[in-house]
Amino acid sequence: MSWNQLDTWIVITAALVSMACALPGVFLVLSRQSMMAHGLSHAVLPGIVVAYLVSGGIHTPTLVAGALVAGVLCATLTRALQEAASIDPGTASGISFTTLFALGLVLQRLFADHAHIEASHVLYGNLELSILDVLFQGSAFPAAARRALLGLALNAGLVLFLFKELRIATFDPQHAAAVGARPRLVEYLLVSSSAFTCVLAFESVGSILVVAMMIVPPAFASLFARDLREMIALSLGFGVAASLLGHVLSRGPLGNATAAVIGFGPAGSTNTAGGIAATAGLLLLAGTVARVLWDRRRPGWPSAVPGEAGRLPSGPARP
Amino acid sequence: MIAALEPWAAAPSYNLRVVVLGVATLGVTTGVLGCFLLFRRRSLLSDALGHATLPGVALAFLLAARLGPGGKPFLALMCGALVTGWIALRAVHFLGRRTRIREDAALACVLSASYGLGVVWLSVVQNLELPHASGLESSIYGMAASLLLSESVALAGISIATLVGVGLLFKELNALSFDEGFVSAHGLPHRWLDELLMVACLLVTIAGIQAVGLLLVTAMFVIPAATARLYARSLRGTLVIAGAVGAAGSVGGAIASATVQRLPAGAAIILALGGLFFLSLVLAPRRGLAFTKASAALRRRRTENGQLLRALLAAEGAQQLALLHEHRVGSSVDASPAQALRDWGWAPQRVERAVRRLTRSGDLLPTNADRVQLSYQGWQRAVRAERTHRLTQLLLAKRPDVARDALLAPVDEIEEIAPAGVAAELRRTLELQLEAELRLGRTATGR
Repeated sequence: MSWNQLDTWIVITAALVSMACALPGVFLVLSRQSMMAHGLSHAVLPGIVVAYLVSGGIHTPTLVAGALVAGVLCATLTRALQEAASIDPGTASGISFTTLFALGLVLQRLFADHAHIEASHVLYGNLELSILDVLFQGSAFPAAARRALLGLALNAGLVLFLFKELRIATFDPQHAAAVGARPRLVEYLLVSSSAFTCVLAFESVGSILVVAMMIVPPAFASLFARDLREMIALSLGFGVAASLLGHVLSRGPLGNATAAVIGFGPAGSTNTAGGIAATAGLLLLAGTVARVLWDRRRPGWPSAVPGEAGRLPSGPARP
Repeated sequence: MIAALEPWAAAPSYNLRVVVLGVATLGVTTGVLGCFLLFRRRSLLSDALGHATLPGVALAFLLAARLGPGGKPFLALMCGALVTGWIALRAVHFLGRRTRIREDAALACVLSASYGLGVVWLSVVQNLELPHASGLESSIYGMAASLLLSESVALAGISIATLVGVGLLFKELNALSFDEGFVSAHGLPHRWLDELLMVACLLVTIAGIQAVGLLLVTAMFVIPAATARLYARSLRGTLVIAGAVGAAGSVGGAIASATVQRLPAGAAIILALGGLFFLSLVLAPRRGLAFTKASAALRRRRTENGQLLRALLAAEGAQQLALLHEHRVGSSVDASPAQALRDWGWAPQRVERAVRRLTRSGDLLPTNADRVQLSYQGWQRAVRAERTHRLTQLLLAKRPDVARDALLAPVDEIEEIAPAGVAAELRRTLELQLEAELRLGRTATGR
C-alpha cells in the first residue's frame, strides 16, 4: 500500500466535503431533520428529468441545476408539511422525498424513456474518480475539492453571519419569533443551504458520503459537547478524522480483514466513500460506548439522556 | 420494466389479481404498523432498516461463496439481510434510548454507516471476482410489477399474522404508544412488546423490499399513517384508516399502472398514496387546511363583529341600564364606527368590512355619511356580547385555570366556558358590580 499524491487529494476532498456538510448538519440534527439529507438523494430525480427534457440533452451543469432546484423544493416542501400537517420532520421528509422520486420516475418513463438518463449521472459521483483531473488535466486543485471548498465557504459564512439567529431559531423558535429574529426565514435559509450543499457534493463524491457526513459527525459531537460552539468544532474535527482514517482503512485493511475472516485472500482496496461512512459509524460506536462507560463511572456528570425539547442538557460549570 | 409489463397485455386479469392481492395486503400491514412508528417519530425506520440489509446481503454472498456451492442462494441472502437488519434495529434502539442522540439522528447514522459498510463489502465481492456476483443488489431488491403468486401469498401470510398480533395486543400497544410509563408501571412486558413491534416492522420491510422495492415500502410505511392522522380521533380509528388508505392507494396505483402503458407500478402506487395525502391535507374535516383556514376566518369575523357592536354600545352610553334591565337609552344615537373603534387599532378597511357585514345581517342601520345606528336586533346582540365579555373578564380573574379556553375562541354565552355553578355566581357578581356602578354614576367603558 503506497501513499501518493492522489491519496492526499482524496483525503483533502473528503475532509472539505465533511466540513461543508457538518456545518448545516449540526443544525439539522438539533432540529430533528436528520433524515433530510438522505431524502434529498432521492428527491432530486424530477429536477434532473425536467432539466433533461427542457435542455434536450445530457449536459451535466444543466442537470445539476435541475437537481438543485428539486433539492431546495424538497427541503422547503418538507418544512411546510411539518407545519401544515403537524407531523415530525422525519415523516414530512418521508412523504416529500418518496412522492418527488416517484414523480421523477414517472416523468422519466413516460417522456424520456429512450434517453437512459439515470439519477446516477448526477447522484453517484465517485470520490476516487472525482480527483483524477489532477492527473489528466493537470489542474492544481481538483474541481471536486474546489466545489467542496465553495460549499464550505458558503456554509461557514452562513453560520458565522447568522450564528445568533440560527442558535435561537434552533433551540427556542418561539422566543426567536418574539424577539423578531425571524426563525422561519432562518430555517428556510438553513434547509435551502443544506440542500444546495448536498447536491453539489452528491455530484462530486456521491450520496453515501454526503448523508453520512451531514449527520454522523454532529451526532458524535452531541455526545460530548456542552454547547453549540463545542458541537460545531467537534463535528468539524470528527469529519476530518473520519475522512483520513476512512481512506486509510479502505486502502486495504477494511476489505482484507473481511476477506481474511471469511477465508479469502487479500481483497485489495475498497470503495472510499463507503469506507469513510463505515468508519464514521465505527467511530460513533466507539464514542457511544466511551460515553456510556464514562457516565457509569461518573454519576452527576451531564446525563446521557436526551435533553428537553431540543436543548442540550446543561453540564456542570466549566473548570 | 417494459419487459415486465408485456405479460400483462396477454393475461391482464390474472397478473393484475396477483399484484393487487400482494400490494393491497402489504399496504394494509404497512399502514397499521406505520401508525405505531409515526407515534414514536420513527416513520423512516423501514428506510433505515432497508438500507442496513445491504451489508448482510453482501456478507451472506461471501459466506455462501466460501462455504457452499456459490451462486446466489436466495435463502442465505435473506438470512443475511435479516441479521444485519436486526443489528441495525438494536443500534437504533441503543442510540435513541441510551444516549443523547435522538431517534431521527440515530436512524440517519445507522442508515448511512451500514449502507457504507454494505458498499465496502460489495466492492470486496467485486475485487475477489467471484462467480455470479453481478446484479447481486437487484436480486434482493424487487419490483412491484413482477410480483409472483408465491410472493403475494407470503406477503399475505406475514400481513395476516401481523394484523392478528396487533388485534390481540391492541390494548397494550395503545398504552405503549401514548404512555410508556404507564406500561412499565403496570408491569406489562414493555420491552418485549416494543421489540415485537419493531421486529414485525423489520420482517414486513424485508419481505416488502423483496417484493416491491425499498422506496415503495418506505412510502407505504410513512404516507398512509400520516394521512390517517389527519382524520382520526382515536388510535383504533387511525389504524383502520391507515390500513384502508394503504390498501386503496396500492390498488389504485397498481390498476393505473396496468392501464397506462409504461407507467411503473411502484411509482404509480407512491403517487396514488401521495395524492391521497395531499388531498386529505387540504380537505380533511377538522384538520384539513381548507377547514382550519375557514374556521379561523369565521372566528376572526365573529370576534370582530362582537367588538364593533360593543364599541357602538359604548358610544350609546348607559350600558349598566342595558345590561341590568334590558333598557335602551341611546336608541337614537348616531355613531361613527371608525370613531368608536379609534382606541382598538383597526385598519380602516377592517372597519369597513365589519360595518358592511353587520349592515347586511340587519344589525346596523346606516344613517348619513359614515355614521351608523344599532338596530334593535343589533342592540340586543351588542348587549349579549358586552355581558359575555364582562363575564369572561370576571372568569379570568376568578378562575385563571380555565382562562386558556376563554381566550381561544369567541363564545356566545359564558356557560360555554365556565364550569357548572361558576357561571351563575359570575352572573350574580356582575349584577352587583353593575348596580354599584349605577349608584356611583360611573360611566363604564370597559372593553
